[in-house]
Amino acid sequence: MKTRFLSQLCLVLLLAGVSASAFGRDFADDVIEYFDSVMQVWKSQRLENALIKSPKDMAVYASLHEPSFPLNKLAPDDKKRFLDNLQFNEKGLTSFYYEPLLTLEPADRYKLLSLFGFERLNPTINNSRSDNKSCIFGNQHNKCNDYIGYKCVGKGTCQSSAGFICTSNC
Amino acid sequence: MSKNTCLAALILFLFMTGLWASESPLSTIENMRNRHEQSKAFQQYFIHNIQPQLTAPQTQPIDKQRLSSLLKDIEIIAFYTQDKKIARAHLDLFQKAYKQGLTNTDNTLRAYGTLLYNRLFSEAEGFYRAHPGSGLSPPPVIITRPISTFENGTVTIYFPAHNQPNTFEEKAINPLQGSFLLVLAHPLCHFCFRAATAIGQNADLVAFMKQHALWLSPPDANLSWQAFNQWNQRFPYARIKVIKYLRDFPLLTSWGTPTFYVVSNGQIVDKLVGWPDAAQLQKLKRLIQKHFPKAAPARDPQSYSIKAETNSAAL
Repeated sequence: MKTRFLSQLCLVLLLAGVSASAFGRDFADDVIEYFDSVMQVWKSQRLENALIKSPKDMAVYASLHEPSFPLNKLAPDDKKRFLDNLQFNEKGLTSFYYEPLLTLEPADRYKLLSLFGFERLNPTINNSRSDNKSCIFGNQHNKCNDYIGYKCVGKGTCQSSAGFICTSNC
Repeated sequence: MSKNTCLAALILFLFMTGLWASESPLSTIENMRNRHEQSKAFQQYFIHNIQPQLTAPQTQPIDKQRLSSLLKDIEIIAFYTQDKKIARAHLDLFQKAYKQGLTNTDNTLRAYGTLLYNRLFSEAEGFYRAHPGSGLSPPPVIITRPISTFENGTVTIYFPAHNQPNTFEEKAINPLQGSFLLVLAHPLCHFCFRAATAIGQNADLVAFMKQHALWLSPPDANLSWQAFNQWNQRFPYARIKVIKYLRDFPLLTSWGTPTFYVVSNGQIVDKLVGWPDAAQLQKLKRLIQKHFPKAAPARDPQSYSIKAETNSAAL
């Protein structure tokens, strides 16, 4: 059921890309609205139902040139660096370069991160350089599964890397 | 012409014509896995590409765009190299950019992180005072003691002080003597947390860790006493100390956390990398049984605990 739904969504996303350029904005707006409503439903289910779980999924999303999509609000260099540094495994996103995302509005950043099931990292990224205190300290440690300033370098292993986050999927 | 020759010729052509969209040299170095080689490569990049721009006689102030770009580059280089010269160059450049109003909170935090990473604590103290309201945590207090004898291979590491907030004690150890398990870990690393938790549920492993393991954190800009202290209270059998300088551990080429290195007389003889799932616990047990067959399982965890306390005090 989930696979079927994912396939349908991918098809709709592809159609959005084509239609945005071929049929004007109205239809594309409808699709984006639909996409947003899907995201609202999936937000509550988080990681296990993340939309983008592989480079292939990412390629589909990155091919959509709709200007209102948060990815397309990044400067071209930032967008390239963000896309070039995404790492996936069978569970989904394992590492990403978060620095370009600091240029986005918090709402857009949230939207983009939620595509990967990592919207919880939005406040962490905001406080990225202040010791990770918002996430890691105290009894919350076991709830914090993402390692800021580190990159996934192997299964269950993170290595210090500027501007990266090593996620729980690593 | 073979298929491979054609492909090679095409790549060469693309390079020569500039059509090959290669990544920047800094990105290439960033992606190197061996931290020592990476650090050297960044130092070379600094010497050949950044330093000449900083030391060239300036007839007029550096324009804003170039200053921002240089600051961005040096921030990356300083993140990966423990080189005081680079750290000070980073600080100088930051001050120039700061005076021109080109810096933001992020730049401030990075410059401060560079000072901590390079163990320039007095400079960090001055920086902290000069930038109130930037979200900086006060630099740690480092208690240094005169070390009378330096044997070959002795290095200094930081021990988070038990009852003195924001304080680390500098002590000397010899990481090359004998056989032991060197565990690279960090209190903010979620995989390390899972590993330490799993180990804590096995009395034999706890006893082994207390007697035969040295838990060390790779150096980074996160020298947070609070994080280390909380970890050490929670996992007394896996107390993490902090490596002062990366270069003091040339044997370690991979700095991912967690990594379990079996060290025997100055050589790495085996390792277990990462903690992706619970199955890793069995692998760790096998690693220990293979390399430490004489390490008897704990009969009485309490007695090991007392002995280990004595050992770690001696460290």
